[in-house]
Amino acid sequence: MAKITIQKKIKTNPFEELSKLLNTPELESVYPHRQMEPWRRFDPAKLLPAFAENLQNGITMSSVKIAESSESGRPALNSAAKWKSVDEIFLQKARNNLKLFKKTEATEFFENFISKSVSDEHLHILKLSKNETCEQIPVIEISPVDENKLHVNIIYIYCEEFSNATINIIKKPGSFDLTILYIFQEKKSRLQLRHLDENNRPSQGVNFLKYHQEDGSISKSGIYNLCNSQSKKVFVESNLRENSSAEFMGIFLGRYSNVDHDFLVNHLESFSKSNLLFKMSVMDDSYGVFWGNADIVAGTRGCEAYQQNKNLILGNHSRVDAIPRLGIHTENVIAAHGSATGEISEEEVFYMMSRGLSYAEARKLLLRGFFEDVLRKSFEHDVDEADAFLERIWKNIQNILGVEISV
Amino acid sequence: MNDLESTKAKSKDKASFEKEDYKYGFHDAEQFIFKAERGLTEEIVRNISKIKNEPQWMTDFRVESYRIFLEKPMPNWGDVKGLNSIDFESIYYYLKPTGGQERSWDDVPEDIKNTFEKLGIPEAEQKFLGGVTAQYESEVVYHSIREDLEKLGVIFTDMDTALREHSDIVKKYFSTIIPPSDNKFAALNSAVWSGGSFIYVPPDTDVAIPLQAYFRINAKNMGQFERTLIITDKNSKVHYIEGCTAPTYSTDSLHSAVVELIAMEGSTIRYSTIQNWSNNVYNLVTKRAVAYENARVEWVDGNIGSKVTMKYPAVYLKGRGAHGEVLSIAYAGKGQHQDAGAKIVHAAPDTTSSILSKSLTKDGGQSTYRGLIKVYKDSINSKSSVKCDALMLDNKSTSLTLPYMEIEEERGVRVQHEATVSKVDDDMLFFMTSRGISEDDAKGMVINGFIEPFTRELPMEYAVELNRLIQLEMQGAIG
Repeated sequence: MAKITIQKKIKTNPFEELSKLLNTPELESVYPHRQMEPWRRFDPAKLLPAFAENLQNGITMSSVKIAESSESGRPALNSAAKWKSVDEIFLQKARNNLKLFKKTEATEFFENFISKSVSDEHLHILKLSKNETCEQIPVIEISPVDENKLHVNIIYIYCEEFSNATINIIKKPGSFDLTILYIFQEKKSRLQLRHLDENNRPSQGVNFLKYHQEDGSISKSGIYNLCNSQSKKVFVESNLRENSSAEFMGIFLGRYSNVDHDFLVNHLESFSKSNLLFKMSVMDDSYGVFWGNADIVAGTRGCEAYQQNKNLILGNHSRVDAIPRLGIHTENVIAAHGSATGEISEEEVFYMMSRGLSYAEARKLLLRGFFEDVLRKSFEHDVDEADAFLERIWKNIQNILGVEISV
Repeated sequence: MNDLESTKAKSKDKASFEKEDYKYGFHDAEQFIFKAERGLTEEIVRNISKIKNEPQWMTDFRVESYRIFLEKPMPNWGDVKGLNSIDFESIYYYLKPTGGQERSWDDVPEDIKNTFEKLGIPEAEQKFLGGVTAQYESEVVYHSIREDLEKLGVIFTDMDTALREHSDIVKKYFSTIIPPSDNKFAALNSAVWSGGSFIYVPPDTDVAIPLQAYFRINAKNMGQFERTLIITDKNSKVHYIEGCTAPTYSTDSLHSAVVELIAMEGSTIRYSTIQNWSNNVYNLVTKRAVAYENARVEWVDGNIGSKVTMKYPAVYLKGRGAHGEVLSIAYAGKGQHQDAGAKIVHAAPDTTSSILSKSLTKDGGQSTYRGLIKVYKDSINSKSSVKCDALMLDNKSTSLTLPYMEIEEERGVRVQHEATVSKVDDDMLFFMTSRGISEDDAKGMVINGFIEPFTRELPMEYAVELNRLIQLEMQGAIG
């Protein structure tokens, strides 16, 4: 398997400037004031003890490797040709673009920390050039170097106009991770991103996925959080300009884990569309939280926002909180959300058992169906290429559940 | 000069027009036999208790609550700006309008009687109510209950009388559902409460006709703090209705009630509110119910008026098979913020609940649904369904939906939530206008259809009144 490592070093640190710029009042005009819900906000203090402990051992970055998806049997092609190296002009642009990502009140502490403490080497830039289509599906592997240190990862994915790509990301946890993925999509670009958090060891961390989509761009993201003994905050924010559309499909499977998922979609301009489908399944002392928030700014029209959340509690002192929120500041919209929480339906189990399946088999099949729904949707168009990645997800799910559920 | 005069005249016209919009905006000259000083001190709290000739435990309770009120911080969520602009020092906390309480409208002072006649209370009483309490400022001025109900042992009286005459029941249940330390406004109410209703329905008694209380604020800068306690004993049933209005003043008034409902085994309480305060009233109410085995509590909650409303009727399902239901509608017009919702706690097996919330926003109003469904461990087979719909009538308004669902049990638990936000459907309007209905009428029909699930649950006369009220409020939008 060919692996090409790309680590671009840049001279200045855009994040340092960013942290200064973020506090200027002009940004308020770029982003109208959004009402945060201070009622029961995620408390980063929960993560602070682990954070401090790891910080004492020093800060490091994970190794970031880009590999072609050669597992599907196709020849590994030169992906470096697609991800162009960066120059000064690009950097300038990148700096300007990064100003558009606003800090979130709830996780301000960690964002401040990142912007103050990281140096050049912590930044990875991936760029897709104008009009280009990346036919292969590169796999970006983020893995820890020194497990006792605090890992800070910042990846900036930049898609130029009319570009088209699919990227798979596999993240292996250090004992404490701070990861930010900035995704900036220029006009009419299309990006399919699949983010697998592969968690097989106890860890803690804060993950950010921040999208900014210019006019007419399309994004489709799969976020798979498969956790065993983790305590994390996952924050996904998306800013949508005119006519752009964003689709999020997520899974959280938790065992001995406490993960807080916060989705925030800002519809900044007219005719933007968002669609969120998130499924959680918790067992064995797990606590899963889903915060969904679709915010449609005043003065826009024709925006559509959908949120769908389904949760399955598998037992043993587990808990699920679902908070799907809608903030609508204009009239001409379609916004809807639905949320349902329950256990595996005994009626459905009975139906299958009456047709000859055992109790355990029936439950396994239903569980598989629960996840497959999301996975099928996020792998809709390229099943062949994605086989290896999909298999990996299933393997992870099975590892956590401790049973084989694939057919 | 002429220009100036004409502008003045215009603005005058506008002012008078605005007053007409709110039908209940009239007010009488203030008359009272006792009015406490502005602001709140321990002395005032003690004085209120002294005037009411209360037992020592109540005086101590009030003073303790006052201390909690001072300590408690203001909520940092909801309409924070509105909450912080409340000037607690400029409010009159107690105003006694008459010497006593009457059982016949003829004995009520002329002015007050006229007020309630304008509001249609005596007429409604004759037609379809089993009992009426009319509260004017801080005290209940009129109270009656049908004799047949009284014979059955139903106690329907105002809270102050109940404290005197049924002190054993009151002392047993008072403030057990909402302690003063619950929130700042519950503490304030506990310190200065006055008036409100007390209902006790004996076992196996069905009160078939609704009981009603009517609350009216008349004076400027008035604070009304009524306290209601309803207890239904085993297998009994009651329907209680409250209505509220106030005159339109340029300064703000405060209404902060505490309502406690206790539904014993197998009993049913339905509590309907049509809140139509004028747009200068802060309506900050704490309402909570406890439902024991197989009991049923229903909150029917209409929020049409007020400047800021923060009200989340709650049901704690504590017995197996208990059922809680909240049905609410909120209308937010210009300058209004309706922060309403519901809270249901499943703390026993086989409990069920349902919430239906509808909101209408117009002219820059803001409506918020803020709700909580909590399913505790071991409340197996609990089912809950929540539905929120918002209809937005222009692009200046805001609608927020903030539902919280916290589930700790999986065995047989099913919790569902859905919400939609939309405007008046153009297709529907087109369909109706193509059949010869004017656009304004068509819009009105769509809105009436939208709130129909709510009005269906009200007694006929109220449903008609509510429809008319909504039509009236919508006039700008509909035509």
